[in-house]
Amino acid sequence: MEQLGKLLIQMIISGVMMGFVFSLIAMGLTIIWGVMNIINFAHGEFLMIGMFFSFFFFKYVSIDPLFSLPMVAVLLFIIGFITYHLLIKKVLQGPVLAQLVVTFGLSIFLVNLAVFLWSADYRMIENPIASGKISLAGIAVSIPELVASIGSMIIGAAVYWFIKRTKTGMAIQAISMDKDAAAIMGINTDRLNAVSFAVGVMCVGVAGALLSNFYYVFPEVGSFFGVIAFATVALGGFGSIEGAMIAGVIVGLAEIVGGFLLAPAYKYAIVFAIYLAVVLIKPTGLKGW
Amino acid sequence: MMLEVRDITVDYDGVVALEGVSFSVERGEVVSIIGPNGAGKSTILRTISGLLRAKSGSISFKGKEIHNLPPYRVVEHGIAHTMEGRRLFGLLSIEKNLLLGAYTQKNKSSIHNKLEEIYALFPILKERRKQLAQTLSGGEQQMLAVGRSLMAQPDLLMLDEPSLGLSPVLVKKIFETVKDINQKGMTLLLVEQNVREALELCNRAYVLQTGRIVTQGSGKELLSSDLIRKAYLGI
Amino acid sequence: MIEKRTEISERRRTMFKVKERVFSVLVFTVVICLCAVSLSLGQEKVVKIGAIYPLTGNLASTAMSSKRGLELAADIVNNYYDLDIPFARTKGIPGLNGAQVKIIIGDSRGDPKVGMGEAERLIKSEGCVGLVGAYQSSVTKTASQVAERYGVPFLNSDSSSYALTARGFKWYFRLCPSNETWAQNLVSFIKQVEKEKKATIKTLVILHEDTEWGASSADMQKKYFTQAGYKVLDVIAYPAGATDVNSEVLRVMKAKPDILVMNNYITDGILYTRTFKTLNYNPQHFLTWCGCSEPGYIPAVGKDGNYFFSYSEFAPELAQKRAVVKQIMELYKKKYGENINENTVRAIPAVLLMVDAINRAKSTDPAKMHKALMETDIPADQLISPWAGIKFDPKTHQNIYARYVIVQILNQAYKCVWPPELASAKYVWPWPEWNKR
Repeated sequence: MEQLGKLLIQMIISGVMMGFVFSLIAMGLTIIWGVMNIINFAHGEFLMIGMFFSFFFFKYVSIDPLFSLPMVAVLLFIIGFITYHLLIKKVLQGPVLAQLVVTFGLSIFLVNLAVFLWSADYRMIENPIASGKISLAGIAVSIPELVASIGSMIIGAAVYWFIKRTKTGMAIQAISMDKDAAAIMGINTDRLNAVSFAVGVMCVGVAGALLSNFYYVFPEVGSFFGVIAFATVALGGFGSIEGAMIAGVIVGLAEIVGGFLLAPAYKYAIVFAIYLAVVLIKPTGLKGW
Repeated sequence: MMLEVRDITVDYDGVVALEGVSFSVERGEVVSIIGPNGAGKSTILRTISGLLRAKSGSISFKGKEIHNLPPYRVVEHGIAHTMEGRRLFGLLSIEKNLLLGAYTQKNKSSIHNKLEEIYALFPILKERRKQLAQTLSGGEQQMLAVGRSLMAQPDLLMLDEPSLGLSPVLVKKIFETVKDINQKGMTLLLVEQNVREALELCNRAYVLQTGRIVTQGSGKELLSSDLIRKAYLGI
Repeated sequence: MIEKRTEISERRRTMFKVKERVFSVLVFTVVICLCAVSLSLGQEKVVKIGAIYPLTGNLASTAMSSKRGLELAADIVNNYYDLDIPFARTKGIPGLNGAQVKIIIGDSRGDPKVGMGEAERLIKSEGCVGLVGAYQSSVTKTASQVAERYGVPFLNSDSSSYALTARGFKWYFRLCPSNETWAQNLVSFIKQVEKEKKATIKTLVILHEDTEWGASSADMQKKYFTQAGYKVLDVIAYPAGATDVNSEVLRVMKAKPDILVMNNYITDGILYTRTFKTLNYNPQHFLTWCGCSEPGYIPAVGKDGNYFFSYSEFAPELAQKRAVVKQIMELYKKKYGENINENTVRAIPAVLLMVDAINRAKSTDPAKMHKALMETDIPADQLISPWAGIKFDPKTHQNIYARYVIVQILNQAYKCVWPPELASAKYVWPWPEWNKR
């Protein structure tokens, strides 16, 4: 019994830690959806790019992922900004199908580009600063996971603050609620769309950089996290930042605790079952509009 | 001449919405545009504020051409637009809605003064300033929408159907407010279906039918014209 | 006068233009004809073999090794190489007037439905005379159904699900051992460990990813370990694309087995390794299958990969016994700049056997190829795999000489530890605990 209790605490800790990372990934996705009504199917691929950047900084310039984090964040922000201007902007006025296809195509393009440039191999950052674990009363906490979850929390909180408390953030919220009304308030919607897309991409890129401390890096890595991000955003409510934050933790917990109590084979089924249950009660998700 | 619209033609996906529309607004005036549903009244305002592009023709404001500017630049020139249906940011508080209205303003103390001015004009908004905009009643929402536009400290305020969906008592109150705002020096361009009140209030009016201006004149002239009496006032 | 002259030159110019046009049309026609002739000639001389592999998806790096194996095999057949292996010292297929072999690749993306569509395309549109592939058992299952329907040989050298041969298909042949073989090999190995290391091994937990391959492997392991008197405490299935395996590992820890038998691919294998270390999980030992033998595994986990037992269908130790193995290892390294690995070694015999069947049949007629395949009896010394030869069971079409070797990762390299006659290192048992290394 005591052993089971310990295992449960272990799982809750692991679940919450992964959950915070999921939250950050989902936040990026939900911001992009909320502001532009675009489903970013390439979201996971930006995570992959973040991981690769982090890996390359480590391998070629010997900068630990923790210290290269700000640089990765800036790079991903720039990539997001450019992507918006080259692709997203062009289809925003276009038919919905074009909007779906453009990010879907981008995701396939990025995966193949990564395979082409960097090969399909698996890479791992060996012995980063954040490594090892803390053991306390038989409960093990992996330091890289802890760092990733705290990092995600900090970045998540910063983005939350930016959206909720700054003038630019308020304008972004205004665009997500009513684009035309925002425009006639004097908000440059095009520029803030770009900023939002860049912030969304930065969120997921930073999550990738944090994950790279303990997760293997390879071109297809994005697809795993992409799927979870969609489930998380749907659970939290499309467009809701708070929803994404809460849902991330729920998904992290459901995956680990649910997987343990029922059967690991059904852990994603559990995540989706929770989503379905929420949607039955509240079709817009936990915090949807 | 503060606003001068010359011969604009606008179409939506090939369907003509406005055809050769010209009119002007002088500083300090209240100008009404009246006409039936679907005549293109809102289209005129949306074109002026840059949400729509005119296919031909020009719009100048305070002597500057503005018809090629994006909406946010039009606001900077001093035109505020209260859209039909209020279009508030429902999940933001009343105060945040008002502050967004002052998005183009840089001077913090003048924003603050303006805010107090709006609160003085609509005391109910001050009372509920922390509440979400979507929790307000229809009349309060309209006040907020007008207040939000005034926060931009515009030279010209364009109001699109301010009385839509309000009870007669509130309609009256809204028109009083509009008059009040005008008396404080604001130039107004008003789109209304409440033809009588609009004509009584305005200095001049234009009648729009299927995208063309069919007649114009002072409010009083139009009130007594046969066309208006038959078609809009049902007398 | 002047006007007339201009008129004449004008007319000439026009005539010249007409001639020019006629000429260019003629040239164009000739070129097209030449192309058509050369194409039709070419068709006679090229034998297309279709290959289905998960070139994109989480097994992309694995499939790349397989693809290189196929290309290498085709190259050996098509060109002259001084290697002691059939078809190396000839150009093309001798029995078919030196016809060249061309590998046409179809990307399954690891999806059974896509694999099925690709099989259809390779047979119908590309005109492939036979198929090889498709790595994942689940994809092989659907792709070989298509081959069965069209009556085209499907040579499978890298899917191990027992269920595949149990179907009794006419056109499906498996060169490689099955997961039944692996379960039997594992039990023999554990019996040997008990004897040699005086270890007490009574219980085990089986962990498997939940596709066809993992599930059927786990079934076989449960069957053979139970038959041998061991107690299977739990069989845990988990989704193949998991991003986190804490719950799986905690369940295993709760069951406390003597040994953990794993059936995993590479991504989850890396994740498990990390999670075992974090949670400091140390059973008597880990017997893994597949994931830890992928070429990407050791580079990804480094020292943490040491001591895991895994399987292989390639024993570099063979190089000391058969010169050709060493030569092919060197050839591969020269060509691709990396060491040959198991996936390459598995892909090569499928192509060579297909060529061999065509060569013996002297035709690409499916019925004749089928007869040749049924009569196959290739001795071990013509192979680069550690199999004892190739000969198909007349009913199931399983290669009865197929077998695995068990390897242990020592100093970040695979060392063969079983069967005893191929062993090149002494194995470490029990598992050295994570925090005592």
